[in-house]
Amino acid sequence: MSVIVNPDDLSCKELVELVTDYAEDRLPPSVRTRLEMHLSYCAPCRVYLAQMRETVRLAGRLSEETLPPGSKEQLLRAFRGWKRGQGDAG
Amino acid sequence: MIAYKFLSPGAVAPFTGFHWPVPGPSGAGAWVEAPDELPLHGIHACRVADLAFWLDTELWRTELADPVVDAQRQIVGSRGRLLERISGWDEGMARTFAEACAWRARDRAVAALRGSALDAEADLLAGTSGISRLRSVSHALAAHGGLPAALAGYLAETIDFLLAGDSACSAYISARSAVVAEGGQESAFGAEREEQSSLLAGRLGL
Repeated sequence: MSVIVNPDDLSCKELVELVTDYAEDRLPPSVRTRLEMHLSYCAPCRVYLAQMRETVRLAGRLSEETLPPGSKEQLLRAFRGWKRGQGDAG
Repeated sequence: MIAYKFLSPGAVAPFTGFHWPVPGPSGAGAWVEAPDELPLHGIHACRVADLAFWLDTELWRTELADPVVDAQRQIVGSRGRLLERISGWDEGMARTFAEACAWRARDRAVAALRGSALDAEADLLAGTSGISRLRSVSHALAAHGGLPAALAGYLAETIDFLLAGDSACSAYISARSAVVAEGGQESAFGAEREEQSSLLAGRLGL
């Protein structure tokens, strides 16, 4: 199926795929504009972007030192299990 | 250069969260310098023809200082300031604008249906007056198949969002319906957005 690219429009699905690059200011101007035009009328996507930015903001405060005892080992086990396809995320 | 800027409540830029300095008793708001090079990080505003692409709660007449460059559906300057809020753009006008967009969608649907010899469906939509009645009729038609269902579906959603108070989304869906009415021509979307902008500018006396 061919993808129709309208310079004046962008779908919610496209926005979800582009939102990280948008938040990190890595989009070319034309794509950035299409994305912002989408945000102008799409309330759910505005909420999604705000949640994503808040997650990044909160996660940015975390450091290894702030992890509760045992959490680092628990996370490492979970990721190792996930990589082996065992999905032991607790 | 005089241009326009839609902002979120409190003169907040909708994408960056920047709080714009608003005009006071002594005149225009303070100049704001672009943080980086144009066009990506300049001060963005829109021309009258771009209005419908950027709807938000507040509309401000804005001055951009040279150099100002043309960009996609907007203009970008190195400095900008707010001159005055367009008081005519409020909740009531947003609703009136969205209703006008819905009627435009209805008229396009009627024309497309007649063009496809679907006169019964066209007559039904053409003979409907009142937004609530138009909503009922379009929802009923949307349950059928083919072109009438597609056009009526867009019309029904245009009205649903309008009645929910989301005029920006309502106007957007109305413009999307132009693409269906034009047999899938994507350019119809931009053309309809420009028509909406013209309509809005007329209502606001811009």
